[in-house]
Amino acid sequence: MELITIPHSPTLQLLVAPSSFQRKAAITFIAELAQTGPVRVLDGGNRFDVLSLNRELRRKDLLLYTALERIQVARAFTCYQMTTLLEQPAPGGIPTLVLNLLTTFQDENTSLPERLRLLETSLYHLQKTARHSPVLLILHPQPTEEPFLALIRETADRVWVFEQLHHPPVQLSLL
Amino acid sequence: MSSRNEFHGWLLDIYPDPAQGVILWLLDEDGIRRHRLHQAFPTAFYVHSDNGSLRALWRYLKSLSLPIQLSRVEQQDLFREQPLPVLKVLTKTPSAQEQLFHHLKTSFPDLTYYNADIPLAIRYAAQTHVFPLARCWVLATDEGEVEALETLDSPWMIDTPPVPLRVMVLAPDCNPDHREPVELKVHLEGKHYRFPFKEERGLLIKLRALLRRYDPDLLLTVWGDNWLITKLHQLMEKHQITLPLSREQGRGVERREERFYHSYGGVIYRGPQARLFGRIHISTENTVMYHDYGLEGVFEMARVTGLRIQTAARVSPGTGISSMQILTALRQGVLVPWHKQQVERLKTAYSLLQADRGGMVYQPTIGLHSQVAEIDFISMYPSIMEHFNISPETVGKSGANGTFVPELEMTIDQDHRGLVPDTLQPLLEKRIKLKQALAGMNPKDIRYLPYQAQSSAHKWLLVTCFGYLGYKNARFGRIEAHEAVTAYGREALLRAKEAAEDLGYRVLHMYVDGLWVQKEGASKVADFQPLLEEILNRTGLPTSLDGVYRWIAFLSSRPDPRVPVANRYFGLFQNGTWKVRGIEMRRDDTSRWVKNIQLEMLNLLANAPDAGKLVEQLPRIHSLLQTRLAALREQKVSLEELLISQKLSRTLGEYKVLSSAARAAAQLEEIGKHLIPGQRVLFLYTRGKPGVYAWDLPERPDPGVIDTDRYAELLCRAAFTILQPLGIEEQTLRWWMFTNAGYGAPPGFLPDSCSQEIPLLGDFFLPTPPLGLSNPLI
Amino acid sequence: MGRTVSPITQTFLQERAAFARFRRALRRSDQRVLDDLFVSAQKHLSAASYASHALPFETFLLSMLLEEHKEIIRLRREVAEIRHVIQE
Repeated sequence: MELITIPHSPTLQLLVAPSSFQRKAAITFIAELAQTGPVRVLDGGNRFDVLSLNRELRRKDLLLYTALERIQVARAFTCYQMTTLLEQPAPGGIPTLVLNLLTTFQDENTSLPERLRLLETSLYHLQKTARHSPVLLILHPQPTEEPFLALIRETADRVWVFEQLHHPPVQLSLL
Repeated sequence: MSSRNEFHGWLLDIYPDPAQGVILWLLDEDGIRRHRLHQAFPTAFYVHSDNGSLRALWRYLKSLSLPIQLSRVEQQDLFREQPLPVLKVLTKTPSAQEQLFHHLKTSFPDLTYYNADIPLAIRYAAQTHVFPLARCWVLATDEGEVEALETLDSPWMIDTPPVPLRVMVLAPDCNPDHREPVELKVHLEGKHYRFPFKEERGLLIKLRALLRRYDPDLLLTVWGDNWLITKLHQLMEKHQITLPLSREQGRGVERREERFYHSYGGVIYRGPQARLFGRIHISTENTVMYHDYGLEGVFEMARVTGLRIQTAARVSPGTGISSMQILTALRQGVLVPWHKQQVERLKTAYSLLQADRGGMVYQPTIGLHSQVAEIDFISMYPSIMEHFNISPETVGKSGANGTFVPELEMTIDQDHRGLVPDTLQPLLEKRIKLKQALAGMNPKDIRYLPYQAQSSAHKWLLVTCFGYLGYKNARFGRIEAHEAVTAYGREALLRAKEAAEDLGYRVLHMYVDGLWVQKEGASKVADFQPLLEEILNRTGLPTSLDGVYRWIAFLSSRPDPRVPVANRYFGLFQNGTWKVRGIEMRRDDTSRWVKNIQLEMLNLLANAPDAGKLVEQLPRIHSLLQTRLAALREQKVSLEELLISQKLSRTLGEYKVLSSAARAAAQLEEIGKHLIPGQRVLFLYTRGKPGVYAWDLPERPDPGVIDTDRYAELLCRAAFTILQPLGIEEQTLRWWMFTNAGYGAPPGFLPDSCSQEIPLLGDFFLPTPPLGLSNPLI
Repeated sequence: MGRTVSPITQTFLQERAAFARFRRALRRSDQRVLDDLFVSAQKHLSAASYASHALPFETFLLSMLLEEHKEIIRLRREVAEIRHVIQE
């Protein structure tokens, strides 16, 4: 995780990782950023894990409540809401982390072209935000999300992809 | 010039017509005539965007040369301080509005649309105050054109005269999912007919004759939406005979496909639908809550929501409450957004931790307790919204007299009445009026059942209203409003607890909007009245005494008997009725056989005059279990009694390990019966593989293959639930059930279940002699 | 909508699971005592939820202490009662 730079300068970065790593990474980054200043978190997956974050903050020996006050959170539950959230600029150029951006775009009640249109609008606004402040998107895409992911990859300034080992080391059986 | 007719009647149905605007069907108060009326109904919607986009839209609309009027106006958006400049598009008819909007939303998807997708019945109710089943006065031409129409009714009246509907009941003789029905049963006006499906032409001709002769207002069918109407259609096409199912000539049946969707982590199944024009079709198995409130409840839903009767019957209470909010908005001249766009305001991580919580759920004191009162807040969450003015547009604003929400850094504007409280107020008032009337009414009174049904319909609307405030697609929802309601709910319950403790009551349990209290010497309703008053003083919210239990048992978790579970209990009220929650007999996936035995056990326990004498019933329970088990083993239990019903949670391909329900569904799949998630599967447990037998397979299984051991085990668990609070160990119960061991004696003595209040150290060192203080119970 | 913060029961189970290795290395008899302590915490989950402390484990520890102290009070009372009987 140390290899991935925490966004401090205005860029749009994308991290694609499996679910477990992605959650851990999100928490580590947020804790790290809250150490030095305010941070904005936009969550589209309804799983911003405050309690794990608290444990991480304690591990880093940070002033817990000060850090919690520095972290600004807003959640989106539909792709329309997500698009509206992303239209709002980051106040004072503070870093923005976007978690589970694609979850709300998997809504069976909205047509595919409409969802792709909304994602394009969202990405347009993200790019605008990234001109003034650092933005990091953290995703663990499902197979159905491929067309959406492709759009995001094109937009991002830098993409980090977590590679799976093809042959994980095997432990010998005790028996 | 045509002459005019004047009459009184009830609105039966309303729908758009491309040429005439609105079609209204009225039932004349003479009880005989039915009037088809029409009325011009110009319909508007609004568009907002930046000036450039609106100009482009204007030019585009002009180029279409449609009979529409365009104007720039200002309208109120609920979430903005200042009126919003919008483009008003006025079309000649509701059908034209619908068509034009359908076209624009794909051609101009980036614009913000308002009042664009509102059901006609709601628009009509907003504009004219005429709602389904409303009594009206009408002045119309001979051609049926409405010249004047006024409502003489209000949805909030109680004791409205019954509407003299002509009802025809159509029911196949068996469940078509199960096997092909043989006969169609028809009931009307006290007459019964049976038409064999085999005589296809004959059936159509006879049914046509009945429809023409009686001209029913309402077709009440069983399996109508998902089978009967389709079947009749097939027959009609085959024999080229048209049944006048709809009253409106030339309008057949409006069909909607079955579907499923995800909601709050569960899967909801909605069956196909078949709606008529000018005549009401209600298909009982597809009517939400029909089993709970029947036709009276459906009518009440339509009256208070303003939705067409057929729609009101088929939608969820969430859509019902949403319609009521839209109606309020339209009447106040507030724009109704097509898509919700209100997003959560940024809050700190600390605020999120405080706000993102539900109702207060306690861990009850496990065991058996005597003389316990249950006190409930009346419609707690809706009352809170109404009382504290919680609405999506009032939360997060303060105004001159803003109030603070407990626990949270959030204010509520009290200078403007909120849209949600405004919608709820008459509903809450009507519900309280009905409840008060019901409390003093003889159950034989003819008003009793309709009142109950209406009250039940209100209950569902009110219960849903809170969830809807936080529902992601709710037009007038906002997560902060949802959080404010739960915060007030927790505060109210804690204040009630404090009030109880200050008045010397012991609080055994609390659950979201109710609390269970006990006090030495308090056993009558009047003994608890001071507490109810004190709670009202401290919270501003009304409570009611649900009843006083002769005794109640709070149960522990199945895996660990030391751990209490919030919503698993059974108790016997002093009036002899039971309240049972969370145990096997309340679960949908318990067989009727087990449910009945659990109920029999409870009925035996009800014989005990007080909790101390419960153990005296044990020998009878022992022999009951033995008899029922013997009947099971001797195949004397009917297969229907053993049926298990479970919901399919996903499609068959998505299961990693096939559950019992999935295996049963797979058996049905093999014979071409396809089930979709959210649907229920009925099956029996059988010996060997695959361990289940789907009930909707064409053949009945041999009773010999029933897995009696499995059913005996299920019974044992259900029996243990009832006996555990009496101090019976699971092992003892197994001896009773599965060995020849007879019942010897009660299991020693009852545990000290009403665990004692422990005094503080300070109290303890007071010079009072401690002996004799220790309290005893049951 | 909502329910981003894990419910208290789930948090409790996670915290308990976090001590699985500690528990595994304990003697069987001590394991049972440890389990008892966690049951004590479980009895006050609703209060812990209401408190919504940033570090819920602290409320769990306090709940364990609370139950321990209740037990001490009960035992003291029993001793006093027995003493009273003996003195008579």
